[in-house]
Amino acid sequence: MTVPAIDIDGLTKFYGDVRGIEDLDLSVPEGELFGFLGPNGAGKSTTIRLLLGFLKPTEGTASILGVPIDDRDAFLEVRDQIGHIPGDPQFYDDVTGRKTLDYLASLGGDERRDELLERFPVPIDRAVRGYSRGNRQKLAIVQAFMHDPKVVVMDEPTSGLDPLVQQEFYDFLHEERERGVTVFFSTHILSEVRQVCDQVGIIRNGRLVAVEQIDDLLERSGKVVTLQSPDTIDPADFDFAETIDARLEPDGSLRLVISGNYDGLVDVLEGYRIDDLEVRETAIEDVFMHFYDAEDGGDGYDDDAVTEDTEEVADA
Amino acid sequence: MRELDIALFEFDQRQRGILIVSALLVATAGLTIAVFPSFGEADVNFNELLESYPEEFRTAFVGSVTDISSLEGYLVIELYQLVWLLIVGSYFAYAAGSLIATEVDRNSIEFVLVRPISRTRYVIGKFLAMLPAILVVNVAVFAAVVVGAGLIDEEIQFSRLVLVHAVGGLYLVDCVAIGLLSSAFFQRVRRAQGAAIGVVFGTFLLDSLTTDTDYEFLGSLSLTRYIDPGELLVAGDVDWGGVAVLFVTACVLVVLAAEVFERRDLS
Repeated sequence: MTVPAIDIDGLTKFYGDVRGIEDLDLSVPEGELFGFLGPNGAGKSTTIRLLLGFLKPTEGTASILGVPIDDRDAFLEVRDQIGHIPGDPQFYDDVTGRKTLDYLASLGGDERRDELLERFPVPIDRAVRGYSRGNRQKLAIVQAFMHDPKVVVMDEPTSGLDPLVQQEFYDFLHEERERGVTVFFSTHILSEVRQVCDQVGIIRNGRLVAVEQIDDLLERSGKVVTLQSPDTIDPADFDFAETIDARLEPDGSLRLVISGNYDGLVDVLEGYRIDDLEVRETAIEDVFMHFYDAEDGGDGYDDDAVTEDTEEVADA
Repeated sequence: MRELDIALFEFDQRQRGILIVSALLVATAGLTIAVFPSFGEADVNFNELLESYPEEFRTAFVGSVTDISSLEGYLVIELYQLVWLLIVGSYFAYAAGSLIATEVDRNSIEFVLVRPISRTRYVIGKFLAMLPAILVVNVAVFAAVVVGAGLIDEEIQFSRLVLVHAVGGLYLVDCVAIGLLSSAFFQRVRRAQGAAIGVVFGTFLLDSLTTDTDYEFLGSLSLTRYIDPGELLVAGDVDWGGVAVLFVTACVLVVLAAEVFERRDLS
């Protein structure tokens, strides 16, 4: 039996009375791209920092590559195999990128540094103080992967990257997965999850709300069909077993959400003249809103903040 | 030796600060010594003046010196007792206060601690980074005093000067250890630095104010109780018990800092 790359077991962290995360269970098999999704303040960073031993859990435990985080000595050794990008990484202002990497390499190795720098180039001989947010993020990517780790844990790794670099990074992550690397990263950007992840965990108010395979999730959530016709459309015609939702838009077109086959739809369409017909996948935003909106009492949490963040997610 | 990598990297970033502090201290030492000849010519009996000061003031700023007319006695009062013990000591406590806290504040510590470096080794590395800094400051002031004394044609007891710098250096190591512990505990730069300076400054005053009172035992909490620049530079006497206390204290503080840091969350 293979050991999961990351195994989180009842992990709980309270800061005094304030809940960081509570009773989190999660398992990420080796070689998977796992997205950890949630609004700001939901507990993503807390989870990551617990997982890497930067915070001590109030309850529960976790292990990486089978080594429990509370086994000080063993966990020290397994860190050879771990890469990490902290949220909003700050390096040493007066030190050049090269010296920064030299330093980190002296502590943990850097077999792949040159290859990575070619792919994510930064002004290597300039002091990091002068780096843009994107360049700092690229430097963070290089240092996270340069010692060829087996597990990489990242806190919002694409923030600050321009779209081209972002795409390059997604491609890179897929290649890493092919090599058997496990990647666990937090994000609040839905499209990122869809494009990158195999599996996604959704966290809200410090609790894990769902863990889903992306493909399942999208399949289950159906397709959106938009129909425009010179005839008057009666939504009741479209109420077949596969229909999740059918409604008329203000412009008279029909918006239909269907899960499953299109047989019923095709039959009904015979009775209509068609100006335009579009079938598209459900926007992932629609899918996730469902989880974000799920009622989960505010116990001590600032619900306003969460609502606001949820909107931000919708925009993303 | 990953501690050394950490120490070198940290020292590298602090070089400029250390050079500036060294230069300032060299200037202070130079000016102090330059004034000495006119001090001797003045028509005032400074020794009497000295005795007229209140006891607390003397213990704080004069130390055990009773003869200010020798260069050694003069330097103890003007340079080692006040500038070294209080100001340089506070500076090193302050500087060490940022050793760990800066990295926690800006999150760069996560780049380091995700690698196979124990927090204990990390703390030791940070501590070691300050040792060459102490050495540089020490050598600079030492050289300034020797050269300065030569320039005003005064003899200075070389071996005693070495003693005062050796024990004075050890004292600074203790100040660094205080800053280190504070840094590991508070993990916020300002708070850590403030607390470190407060401890060095506070215990300095505590020692001075309680000498020859019923509360003298309180002064034994102070580092300055274990170093007497007057005894070292004027008399050439080393209080080995005091040296031992300074040494053990430094070790205990560093171990404590490591243990505190191992147990605390990175906040």
